[in-house]
Amino acid sequence: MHISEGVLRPEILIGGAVLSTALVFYAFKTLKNEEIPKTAVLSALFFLASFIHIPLGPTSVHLVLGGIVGALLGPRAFVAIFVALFLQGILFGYGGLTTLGVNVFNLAFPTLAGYFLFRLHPHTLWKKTALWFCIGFVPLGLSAFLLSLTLALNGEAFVSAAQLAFLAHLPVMFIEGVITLFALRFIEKVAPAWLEVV
Amino acid sequence: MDQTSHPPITPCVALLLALVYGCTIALQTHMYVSMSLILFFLAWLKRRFLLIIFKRLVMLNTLIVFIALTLYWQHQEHLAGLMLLRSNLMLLCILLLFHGCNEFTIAIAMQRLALPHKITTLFFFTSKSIFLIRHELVLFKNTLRIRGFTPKTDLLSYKTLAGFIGTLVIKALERSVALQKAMLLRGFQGEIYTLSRRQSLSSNDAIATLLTLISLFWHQGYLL
Repeated sequence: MHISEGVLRPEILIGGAVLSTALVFYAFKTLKNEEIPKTAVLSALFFLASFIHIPLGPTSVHLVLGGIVGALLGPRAFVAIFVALFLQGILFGYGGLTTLGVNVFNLAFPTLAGYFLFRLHPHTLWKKTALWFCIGFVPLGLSAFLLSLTLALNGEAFVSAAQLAFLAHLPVMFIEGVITLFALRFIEKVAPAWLEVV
Repeated sequence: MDQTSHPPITPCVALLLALVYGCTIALQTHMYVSMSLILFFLAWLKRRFLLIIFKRLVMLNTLIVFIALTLYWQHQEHLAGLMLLRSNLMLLCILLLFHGCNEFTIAIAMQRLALPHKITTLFFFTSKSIFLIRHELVLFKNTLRIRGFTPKTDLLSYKTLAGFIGTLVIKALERSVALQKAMLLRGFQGEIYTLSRRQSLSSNDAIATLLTLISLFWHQGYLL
């Protein structure tokens, strides 16, 4: 999901950095002191999601949890994901500093879809099931699309890599959707108050 | 890294060096041997951990090699080589600079860089939460292992793991409420005070800064 250092052209790096700086700056500026703890714990959760491996056939994939983070934080997810990706880049080399802007935009912007989907009020169990699946599936799908778009914009030679990258993410999107659906069902049973939209 | 020992390069200097080195290398269209000068110095400082660092570098190369192969397939050999070299120089620089550091080291470095209090506070709280959630993650994995649970590609495994994610989310949100109450109780005014002693700049910091500048602006030994 992260684009590594040294892959992208300067124009894309600068564009991503400018976009993300504006969005993260706005989110930081409007972040109230009392919102810091919730943002921090969900940032930590996003950071550690990369270490939760889900088996998929002979291999395994890791979770992203962007949908859940976006659903619970809304626009504040930009700040949470910025902090998490910064720490991942520095401590593990996932992504990096120069690609931080692009990666933050690719991963944080789609979480807004999770936020808006979470605010819909489904009336039947089937609709709720589909919606909660989408909270995991759609943000990750959009992130994979943005990742592929970024690679494709990097030059004609990168189009094949972009197509393959999107295809590689298809099974991960379904798994993220299924895990998000069951995780939200679990929260609904154990602590439903946390799912009440203010 | 031992919590009490100081890293060879002061973390706030390391952050600045990584940023300057990364941003400059990212803009290069030609690579020179001299660009790796700083990496030799850092490798010497971290010589005891070189094997671990190189193993991580190999792991991080998965996506880079995949993209390079697609470029090579389209006869874009120069672009593939440039991307491989650029990526590996930048990644190696970060891995060498920050090997042994943890989230708290970075949070303290952010504070030393005199960034706005809200940002440093968020980094401190995130670091603390990572520490606590990681502990729960280890406990959960151990519990599953003791019960003889082996995750498979089936619905039971996915439900079990989703239940764990749900537990983590609930605990994280409950912790955020407790943290918010603690902030109120302690009269939090938007600033975190650390008890750690300020690490003064060392000769390693000066040498690393000088070598970074030489690596970036003295081009010798054309590679591609």
